[in-house]
Amino acid sequence: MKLKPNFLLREVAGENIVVPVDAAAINFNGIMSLNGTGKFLWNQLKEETTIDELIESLVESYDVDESIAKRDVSLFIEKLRSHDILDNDERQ
Amino acid sequence: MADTYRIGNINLSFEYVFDKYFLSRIMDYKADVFPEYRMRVVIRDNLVVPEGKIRYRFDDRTIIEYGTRAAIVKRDDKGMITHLITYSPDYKDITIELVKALGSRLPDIEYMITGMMFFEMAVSRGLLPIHASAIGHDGEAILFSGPSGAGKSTQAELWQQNLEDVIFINDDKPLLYETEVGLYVTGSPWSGKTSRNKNVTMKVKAIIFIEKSTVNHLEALSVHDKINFFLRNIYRPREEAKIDNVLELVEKMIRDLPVYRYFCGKDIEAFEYLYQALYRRDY
Repeated sequence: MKLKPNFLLREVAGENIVVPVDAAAINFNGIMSLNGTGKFLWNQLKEETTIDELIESLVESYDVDESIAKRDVSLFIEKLRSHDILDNDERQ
Repeated sequence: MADTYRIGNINLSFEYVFDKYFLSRIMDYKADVFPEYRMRVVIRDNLVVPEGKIRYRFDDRTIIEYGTRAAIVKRDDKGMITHLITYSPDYKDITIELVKALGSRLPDIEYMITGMMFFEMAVSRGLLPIHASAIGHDGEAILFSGPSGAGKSTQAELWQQNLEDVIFINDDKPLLYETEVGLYVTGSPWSGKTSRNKNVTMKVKAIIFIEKSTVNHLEALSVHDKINFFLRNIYRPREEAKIDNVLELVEKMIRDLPVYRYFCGKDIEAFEYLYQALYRRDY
C-alpha cells in the first residue's frame, strides 16, 4: 500500500496537518492532523509498503512492543482509509 | 467595454455581462488604475475546448493544460460544455466563456465563477478569502466566521443595530492579509447573497467562530482547534504552489490574533456579551 498522490503533510503552528491538493482538495472534508508516530508512518507510506513492514519499522524506531505497534498501525491505517488516502490497499 | 477596479492590492480590468449582482456591488471599487490583472466574461452559442494535456478530472470538470495556459471545462449531465475558463498560470489573464443555453441561470453562474477565479487571483497576491461576515467598528474589524447557517450575518447585524458606526466590510468572503504592523481585512465585490460590502481596509481586532446556542459563552481555543477552524473556513487553493503561502498566513493568525469560539443566541444579549468581552466595557 501507498499514499495516494495529492496529499501533502505540512507543519502549521507545531501540528502536522494533511492538506489535499488538486482533485483531492475537492472531496476531502475535514482536517486530518498527525502525531509524531503518525508522521513517521506517513513518511513510510510515501513508498510502497505493507502493514507488516510498518509494524516492524515502528518497533525498530520507537522501541515499542509489537502488540502496541500493531494496534497503532491498524488505527492509523483505518484513519487513512476513512479519508480514502490509500492506493493498493492490501485489504482489497 | 472593460472598466478598471482596485480590489485589495489588485488592479483589475474586468468585463462582466450581467448587472444583476455587480451593479450594486462593484461601483465602490472602480478606479482609474493601470490593470495588472484582466478577467472577462463572454457568452457564446458553443464552446470549443482547447486541445491539450488533461491534468485531472473531478465530477463534471476537467482541468487541461495547453501551451502556456490552463483551462477548466465544465459539462452538464448531457455532456454539453457549459463553462470554459481559460487562464494564465499566474491568473493575470482570465477568460470565462459561458454557453448561452444556460439562459436565466447566466447571471448567477457569472457571479459565482468570477468570484471563484477572483479568489484564486487574491490568494496569489497574498490575500486570503475567509468565509465570514466582517464588520468595521471604531476603526477596527471583527470577523464572524463559521459554516453556512451558523448565524454569521445575524451577529454582524446585531452589531450594526446596536452601534452607530458599524459598517459591513464584506458579508461572505472578506480578504485577510498581513502587513508589517499586523493583520488587515479588506472588502471585495464578491459578498455572497447580500450586496453588503465596502471598499475599505481595517486592522483585524478579533476573529469569532460562531456556534448557535441558547446561552452566550465565549471560549478561547487551543492551537489545534484554531487550525481546525481556520482550515475549515478559509478558501483553500487547490494548487500545491499556493498552499504554503496560505498556511503561513494561517500560522500568523493563530499566533497574533485573538481567535475565539462564541456560543451565542441571536438577540441583543449576544451582542452585549461579546462587546463586553472584547472591549472590557459596557457599550
